[in-house]
Amino acid sequence: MSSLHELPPAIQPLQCERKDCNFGLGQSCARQSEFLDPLRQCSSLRRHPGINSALALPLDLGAEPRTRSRIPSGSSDTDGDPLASRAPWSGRHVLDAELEPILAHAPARLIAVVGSFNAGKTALLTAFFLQLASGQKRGFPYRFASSRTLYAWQTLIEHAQRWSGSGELEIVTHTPRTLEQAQHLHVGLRPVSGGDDRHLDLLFSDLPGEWISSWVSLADEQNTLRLKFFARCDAYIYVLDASELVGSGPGESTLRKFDAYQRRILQRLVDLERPRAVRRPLLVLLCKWDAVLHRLDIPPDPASPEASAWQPIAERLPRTWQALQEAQALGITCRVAAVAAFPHRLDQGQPVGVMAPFHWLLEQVDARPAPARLRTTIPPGASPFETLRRWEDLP
Amino acid sequence: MSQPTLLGSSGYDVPSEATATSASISVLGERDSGKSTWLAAFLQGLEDQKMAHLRQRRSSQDQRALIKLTDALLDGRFPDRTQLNELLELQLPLQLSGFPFSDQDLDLHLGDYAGEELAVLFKDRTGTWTPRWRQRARAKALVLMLRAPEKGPSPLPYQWDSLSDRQRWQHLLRSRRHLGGRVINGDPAPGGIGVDLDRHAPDPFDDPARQFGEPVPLQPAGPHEASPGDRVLVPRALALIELLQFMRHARGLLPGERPSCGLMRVIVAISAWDTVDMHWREAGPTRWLSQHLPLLEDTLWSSFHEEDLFYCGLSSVGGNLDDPGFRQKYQADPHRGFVEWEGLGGIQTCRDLALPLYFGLQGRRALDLGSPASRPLIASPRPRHPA
Repeated sequence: MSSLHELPPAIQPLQCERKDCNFGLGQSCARQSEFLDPLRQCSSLRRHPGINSALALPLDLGAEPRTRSRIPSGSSDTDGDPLASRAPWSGRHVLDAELEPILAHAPARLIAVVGSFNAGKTALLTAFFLQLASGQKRGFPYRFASSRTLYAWQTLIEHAQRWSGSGELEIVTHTPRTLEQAQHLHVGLRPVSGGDDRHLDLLFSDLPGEWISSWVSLADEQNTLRLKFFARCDAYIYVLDASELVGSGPGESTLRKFDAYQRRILQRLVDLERPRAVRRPLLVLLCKWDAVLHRLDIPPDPASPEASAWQPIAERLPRTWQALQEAQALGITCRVAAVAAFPHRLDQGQPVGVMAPFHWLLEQVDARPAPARLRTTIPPGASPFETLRRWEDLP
Repeated sequence: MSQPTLLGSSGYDVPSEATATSASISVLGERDSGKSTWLAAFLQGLEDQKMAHLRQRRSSQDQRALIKLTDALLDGRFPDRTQLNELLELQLPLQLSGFPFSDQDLDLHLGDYAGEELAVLFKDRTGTWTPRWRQRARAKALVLMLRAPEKGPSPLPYQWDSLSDRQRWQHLLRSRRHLGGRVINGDPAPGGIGVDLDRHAPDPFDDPARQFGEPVPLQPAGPHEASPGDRVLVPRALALIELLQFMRHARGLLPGERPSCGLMRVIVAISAWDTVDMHWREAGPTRWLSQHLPLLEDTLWSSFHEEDLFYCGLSSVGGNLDDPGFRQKYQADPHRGFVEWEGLGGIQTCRDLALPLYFGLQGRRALDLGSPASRPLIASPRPRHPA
């Protein structure tokens, strides 16, 4: 039955995917620490066409498996039901919207990997995974336990396998700048120490360098919003392309521009840390050092920026190094290291210097101070046994 | 994905006799991992009553899968590769008996599927993680079949020292200077693969093995530290690891959570073990796995208790049936398959192809095969090669 004055469609109920969010009931958003305006900014909040609609139910990625409905044994094959036959996770990069359930599992560490276009961010992460996966841990005190992004890792590795070794070709695919939201690579680690029974989720952001450039140029709402995970990260890896250091001699305009640009990135990061009570550590990696090895010689061991060993680099990048010193003065723990993620084709040689920086990074983000020792003074001449006997045994 | 062709029972029926217990074991592996061949050899051994502790109580109601698998071996050839849409489900009414097992009737469910299905599942996550896969996750034990490559480097002597990063940078610099400072990646690095220019050979007079005998490690060491010129080991079996993660997820296990002992056992069977270099066979399957599949080994170490893990080398038929000479020998005596594993006394060999199943059902005590019934099947343990 038609009407000249049709009623507007009913307002659909507001519903959030997160079970701990009651914003739809007029109360607080579970992610209010991230959003100024959850109604506009939160991707988990939707108006569902119908609460019982199967299409409205979100894919429960990363939710506690024990809360999932169990499929009874002996049930008929439900291949026709797309939800029943969907894998628990996609295996691709973890998107920003899928981050919260993983971060909610303690302990989880989110590492923001920052750097300009073609600095070597994705190649660095690929080399790290390859070293971990091939058992070349070189003292790294964790073993692989799990990954939600195995398919993503495999895709990166396959691309690296096809690399011919030419410096003109890319080793891994450039992270596309057309992404709608930030994406992350995941690896689950287990401490080697038998007494430490934890499973540590480690997430690395895998961002296009263009996003960083846009954010450095203009920190408006759009450019800031897609980097909102910075608020939650536990450390930064700041990647510089070492081959830029020798593209031109010191003092030439290309190097000066590069130096100035790197300083701007660092200043943005320092600005993020300024209001925080506890500053997050910063790992500075000079990637592609194999390309400059014959000009700059063997790099120093990983050290803090003020170490004299890094002085030749500081002279080439005075602005960048000044920004690093300002960061340290603010209380940000910094470390500088050089890395050659792919000095050869995969079938011709190993990466160099990859694991030591990650070892340092995990020491910062997974610091577990030993409990204080109970000190009891044993008087001279007294029996230690008598002194330390339990109070219950005292006469 | 079209409906699979099911050969055999659904696999999870109510036990036929009231006293029989029901157990399912899932056999998982990628394409060409040897799943069908092992199942065929096991079934043939079962029919010929060659298993030390398993007997058929009676014939299975549906023997199509059994016939399909064993017919090929009776012809002296490897079973045909399981097709993509084909499922082989076996429900075997068995009797488990003999020390160290207590006598019991058992309905054992085994399944075989096309290895390509795993690759499809790894790539396409929508519509492929079917309830049938989730049912496989509920098995008492998982047998992960991995095929050993035909050729591979021999195990290296134990390394007593390690290269620092500085030494590796030095090696890289020398290799670049040797090539005139240009990056030429078509040629191998100077010194060749596996040869290190800075590492000193261990002083033989400091070799403890000479003074105290061969060491018996309590825990297998990790893979050898790669020399700078060694190729980067690209991780294999990622699809299998992902499947293992899915199955644990289906069982309600969190990542890194080790299930209580006995709830979910994992047997890693390295198939075609007869083709493996003798040095690796003497080093043992655990060492082989650590060197060739460190990612899988780490995953298993992180996710299961040691008591629930069993690593073995497996040769289903004892040789290559494509070789006419061996085929002739095989047809004269078809029970040539064997299982090798590391015991306390060294590398142990057993002709009972059901050993992985014994472990899946009963755990570590299944490896105590000292009963008279099994003695003809066991060779004397030989010392482990300290690789």
